[in-house]
Amino acid sequence: MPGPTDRSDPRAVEEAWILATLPRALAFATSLLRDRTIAEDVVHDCYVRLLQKSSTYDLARDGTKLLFKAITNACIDRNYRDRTLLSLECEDGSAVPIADPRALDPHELASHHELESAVLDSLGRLTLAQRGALELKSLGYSLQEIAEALGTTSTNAGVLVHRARQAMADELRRFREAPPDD
Amino acid sequence: MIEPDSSMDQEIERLIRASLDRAAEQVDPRPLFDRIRAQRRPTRRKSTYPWRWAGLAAAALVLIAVCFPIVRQDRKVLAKGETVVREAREVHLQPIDRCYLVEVRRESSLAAEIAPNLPEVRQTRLWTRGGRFWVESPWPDQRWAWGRDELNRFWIAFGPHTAVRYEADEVPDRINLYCDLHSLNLERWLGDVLDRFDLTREEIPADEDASTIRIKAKARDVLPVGPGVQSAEIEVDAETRVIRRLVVRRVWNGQPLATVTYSLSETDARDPLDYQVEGHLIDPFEIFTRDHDPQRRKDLAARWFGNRTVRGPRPLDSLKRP
Repeated sequence: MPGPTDRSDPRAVEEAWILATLPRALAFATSLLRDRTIAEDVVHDCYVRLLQKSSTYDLARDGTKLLFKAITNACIDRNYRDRTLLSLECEDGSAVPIADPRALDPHELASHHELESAVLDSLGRLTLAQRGALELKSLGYSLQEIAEALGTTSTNAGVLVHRARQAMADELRRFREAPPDD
Repeated sequence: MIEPDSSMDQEIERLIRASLDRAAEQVDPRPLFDRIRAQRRPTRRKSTYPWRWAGLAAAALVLIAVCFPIVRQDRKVLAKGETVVREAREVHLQPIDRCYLVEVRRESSLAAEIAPNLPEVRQTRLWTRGGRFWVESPWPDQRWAWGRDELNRFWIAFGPHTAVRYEADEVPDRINLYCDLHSLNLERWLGDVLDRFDLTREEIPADEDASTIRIKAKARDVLPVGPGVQSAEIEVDAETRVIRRLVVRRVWNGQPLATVTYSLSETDARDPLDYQVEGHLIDPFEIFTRDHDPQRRKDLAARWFGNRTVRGPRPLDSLKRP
């Protein structure tokens, strides 16, 4: 019978951890890859690989960081592999803009979830590395952790975050400069 | 042009985090979770001494030959489903705080009508001790909590400084039903299961983990009106009799309402104050109650549940059938 400070058995703890982390992990992978089906495969593989080695680290303390690192790496690999098959990206690695939201009718823009859509659109125009860096930063990861996840240096991770922020700030400028209501 | 400054940086990060959170809330984790669970197999270490395998295999053969009749005989005396549930109930009578990861999945439009602001699948962390409970986000950066205290008062803390509280006699019906969906009084619930359900203990295949006992519970009768439970799957730790996982299929007017999955996350001794709204607030804070700005309380609760749930233009029994 468990005492007052007992933790439950390892398998139950692992499964609870999977359930708790899975929605955000999948949302993150989908945002990086812009494809839910591929993201599911990537996230699935990352969990399986991570759990196979769960006896070698503290899941509660390090599991989420390791998971997001593995997902970031896997997304970059996947993206690189897919790019060689069918390029949907510009020369500099940014996604091909499907539509310019600034061309939309202002009334249409204002009608529904305008800011939310703008954030998603702006994220979509970043390179995968910039998007990953900025999303990891927004989830509380340090530059060192982001660098490890992206396989680069802290300085480069800082540059990626800075450029991504700058691009986002430019994209979202119109929301800050919205004219006052008449 | 606006140069990114620290406040703009923070605002951008907040927007991105909110965007990820919204996307995560739309994720139904169950199918992928089941895939991962199915893929997991107990890892076997490679032996560096192959000769050991020969010895082990011989020993195993002897063991099987000697023990097989005993095992067969022992299977007949394995505890029945009722016995296991009764023992589990005894364990859960202990005044221990347990944390479950709860996933509520809507099975009909009625669940959406009760709380229209909530996604189709919602995950929360539930701390429970007897009839008291409180719920928080599974993500540490989201600071909200709601629950029911020892006086049956319902409360929501929207952050560290603002909260609402309803006395037991003024909680709207729909909020009571919502609490019922998300909370878990295991001792009471297992008592109901023993009284009103047919229990079947599942045979576990020889190659599967035997540390878990799986029991299927099917209600003998489902009330044609109001809330009820049609069936449940209970996973009990074979050694401790602690409930590790519980899948409950809830109905309303005999029709599917929601499937709720509770997965044991941890067991601990919590501060009793955690079950009260004050335990989730930091000075200075304001609690809106029946006696303190009730209109503001209604507005805040409506943000959480939607206007209809809080203001309740129709009583629950007039809700459409799903």
